[in-house]
Amino acid sequence: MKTKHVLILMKIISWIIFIGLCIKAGALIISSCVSLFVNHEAAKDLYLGLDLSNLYEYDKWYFIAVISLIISIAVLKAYMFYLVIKIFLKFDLKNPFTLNTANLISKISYVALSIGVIAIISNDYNKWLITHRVETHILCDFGAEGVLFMAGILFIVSYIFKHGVKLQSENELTI
Amino acid sequence: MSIIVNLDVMLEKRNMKSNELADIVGITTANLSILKTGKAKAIRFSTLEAICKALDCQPADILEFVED
Repeated sequence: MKTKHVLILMKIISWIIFIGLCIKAGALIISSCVSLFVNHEAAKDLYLGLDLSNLYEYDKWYFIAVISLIISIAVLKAYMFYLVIKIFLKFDLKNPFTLNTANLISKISYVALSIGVIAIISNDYNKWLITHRVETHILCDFGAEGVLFMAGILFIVSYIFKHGVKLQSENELTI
Repeated sequence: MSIIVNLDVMLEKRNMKSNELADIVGITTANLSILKTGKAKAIRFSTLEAICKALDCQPADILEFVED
């Protein structure tokens, strides 16, 4: 009963995070499009005070590169939480080991790995920009290590899950 | 699989229907069907014992090894 309540709570939290990340990704895409095609003043506040106006003035292509990395991280994070919600929608406590869930966990681990790799590239690119005396107003930490660690753990969990599916099917076919 | 389940043969010999055997053994007809069609991965000793008791036979009458 307690586990059921925790699962419901986690499902609600995942939905909230997913909606929040969708809004963030959408806002970033729209504000960067506005700053590129309509009014470059929008680069001063792209999302919650994210100011890339200095970078925009320095070089438009550097700005496009940085904003693309930030948007791709936001979109991938939203997609990751979409997959988490998909797991919660199909999760059954009585019969938890299904191939579908195992595949979803494995997919999440690959998405987390992609986020980690993009975060590392973003960190290094940001540091490189700072060495070229470009003020980007972004913290040089996209949390790459944490995401990569999570990707590794999830990959192991998905492997264990796949083994669990095999054991469960064997158990079901034992008469 | 190289293990053949001759449950059909024994049922015919004893003039018994599948659902009757399932009732006596205490398993579902669906599970008995899995056993009969050779889809089962394993059989419990307790199930085998109950089947042998119900059909008055030996395990060898039900299970047979055939080289692939």
